[in-house]
Amino acid sequence: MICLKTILLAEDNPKDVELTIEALAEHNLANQVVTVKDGVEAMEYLKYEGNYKQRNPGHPAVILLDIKMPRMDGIEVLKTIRDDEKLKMIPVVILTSSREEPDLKKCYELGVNAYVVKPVNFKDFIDAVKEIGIFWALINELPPEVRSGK
Amino acid sequence: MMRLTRLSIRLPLLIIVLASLSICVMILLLFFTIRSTVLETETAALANSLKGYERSIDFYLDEARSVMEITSQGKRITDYHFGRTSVPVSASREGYMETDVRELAQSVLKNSRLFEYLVLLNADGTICIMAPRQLQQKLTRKELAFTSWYKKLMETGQTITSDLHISPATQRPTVVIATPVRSRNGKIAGIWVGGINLDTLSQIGIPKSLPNALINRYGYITDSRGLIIAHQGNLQYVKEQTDFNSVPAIKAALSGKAGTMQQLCPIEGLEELIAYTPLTGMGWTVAYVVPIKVAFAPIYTLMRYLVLIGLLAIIIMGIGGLAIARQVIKPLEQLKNGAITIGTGNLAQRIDMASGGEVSELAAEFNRMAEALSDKEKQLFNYIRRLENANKELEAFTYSVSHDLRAPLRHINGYVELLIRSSRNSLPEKGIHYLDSIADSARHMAALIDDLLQFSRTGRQEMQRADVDMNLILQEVLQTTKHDNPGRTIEWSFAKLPPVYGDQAMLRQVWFNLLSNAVKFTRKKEKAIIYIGYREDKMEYVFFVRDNGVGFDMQYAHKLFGIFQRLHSSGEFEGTGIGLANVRRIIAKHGGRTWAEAVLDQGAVFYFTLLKN
Repeated sequence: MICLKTILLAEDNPKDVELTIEALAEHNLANQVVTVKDGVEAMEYLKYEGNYKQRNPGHPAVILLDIKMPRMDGIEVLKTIRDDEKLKMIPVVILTSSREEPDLKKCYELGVNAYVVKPVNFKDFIDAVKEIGIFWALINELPPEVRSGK
Repeated sequence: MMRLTRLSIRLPLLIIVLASLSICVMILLLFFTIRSTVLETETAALANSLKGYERSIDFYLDEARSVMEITSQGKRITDYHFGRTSVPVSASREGYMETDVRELAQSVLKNSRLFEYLVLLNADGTICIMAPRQLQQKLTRKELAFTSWYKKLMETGQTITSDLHISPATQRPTVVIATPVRSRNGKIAGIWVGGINLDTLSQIGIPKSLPNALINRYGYITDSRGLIIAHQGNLQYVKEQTDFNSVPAIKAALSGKAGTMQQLCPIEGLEELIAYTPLTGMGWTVAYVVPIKVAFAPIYTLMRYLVLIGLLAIIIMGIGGLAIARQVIKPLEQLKNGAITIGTGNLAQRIDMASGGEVSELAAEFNRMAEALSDKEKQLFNYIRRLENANKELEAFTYSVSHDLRAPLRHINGYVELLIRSSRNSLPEKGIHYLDSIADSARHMAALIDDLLQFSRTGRQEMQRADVDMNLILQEVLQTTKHDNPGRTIEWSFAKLPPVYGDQAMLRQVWFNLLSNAVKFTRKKEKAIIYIGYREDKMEYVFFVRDNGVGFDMQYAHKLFGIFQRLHSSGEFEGTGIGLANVRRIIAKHGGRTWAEAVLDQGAVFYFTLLKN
């Protein structure tokens, strides 16, 4: 059976969401994207809570996290995921506006899988998102726990 | 030795030392006072004793002389036949016989303890009679004309007291009193001699009740040569005819002086007080002596008690000193503990001391100081908090700039791009150009923001200084620069650079910016020539990068290192104008200077200095 690999995109800015999905669409990855507006929603999605109680089971192939989000920011989400026995295997990619060194350091300490600064130039942005999408959603092999979503 | 600097040790020690010193001085003063008093009274007593002694000696000798002179004038002596052949035989007769003389002699010897024998001589010095009779039989010689007393007597015709000599009868030292016996016509017919018992003479002046062992003050007599005639303390001197001529006091007395002195007796080997005087009329001397040891015996006893009392006093004062020291030091200790507490940062601590006095004043000053320090600390704390707040705000600002300012630029860029993609065919040429310009501006603004952020980061960054090999980082930078500018013909040359002490990453940034600049501004030359060198003076190294590029007008040189300052249009040479500002900031952080020299269209030299060591 073909495993549908979901990409969870946590991003509060609708323009960024649109541009990101636009970029993923260029490579036919847009259908697999689930968008949440902040860290709290991201956790609800991962834990089948709130609006996501009835969602299809299974963990996303990768989580794309913005750092600056309302309520619960990307770094908090990353920490919660890594502290959670069931979630800690899921690949997390920080997708953010700038490379502030303290953020970079903290994310790597918390075990981030990649840290990507969104390029200002849209062509470069498309390339970056494409590479991320293809790599994590298509090429990368996940451990069985993540695949089954348990 | 360190302990000795502590007040708690020094104070009692000082008190003990001072007490000991004063007590010692007191004892010494007392000693000398008592000594001089004792010396004075002893000397006075000695002079008195001497006078008494001299008087009794005089008295006895006078008596002896009188006895001799009176008896010599009696008929039994004067009428003795002295060897004349016609001799009267009975009491009624004109001359007296030997038996009469012996009778007289017996009675004299019996009545005067002083004489031990009597002798009647012829005028020519031959012994006629000697009493007692048994001594006459022991006589070793009968001619006495050789003796000095005989000669003197014959010369002067007076009664003579002899010097010390060995008696031909007793074979012991003796002194004689000789008096002339005159016949009726006044001529010396014979000599009447009394031998003085020196043992008896020595006993004169000694109270009968006093045992010999207790005689510690004593008188003695010498003859005109200094030989001992009589000695109250030691008869041995008499027996041995000891010569006291070497005794200073006796020497003085022999030369006719009288007085008292303290001397070291060369015979006894002892320090003594002595009173001395010549004995009138005979050339003899009389002395009276008390050994210093004896005179000062009571002082020594007293001193022993004084020293004991002194030691006791020192011990008591030491204990007292310890108590006083403790009392003095207690507030000091309190002060110290307070100071320690304040010193360790507890500025709220105050020293409580109500006792008054200097230490209390000191404590009050100390409290005032702590108060002032506490105020200053609060002030400082406020400054620090404000500074920290400012710093935090700045960080938050740059953070938000880096996050929030870039996002809209990205969006502009993204949507412009999407618009061009989706509507390329329906847009006029001009519209496409406008959209391109919008995207270009957004990119440029993003670059400005990035540079600004980096510049602000450079300012805030902590320096991590270490020894830096300039040649090594320069080679690394050169590799990058070459890689970034393919297809350029550049002639590079380097001096061998000295190592410096600085932040390696920052210095790498400096070299990168300078080399990038040199490459950028030589772009229009067919062959770029870039030289990297240095020179040094006493304090610093001056590094420089020289190129043959477009250079600049020296008129604007001061603007060169300002932020976002450009001397060329962005159309001519790209860049935001942050590179040199960064260089200046980094070098300034290292304590160095930056400047540039150039000739328009011929090239430029960029300098920076770093301190040696």
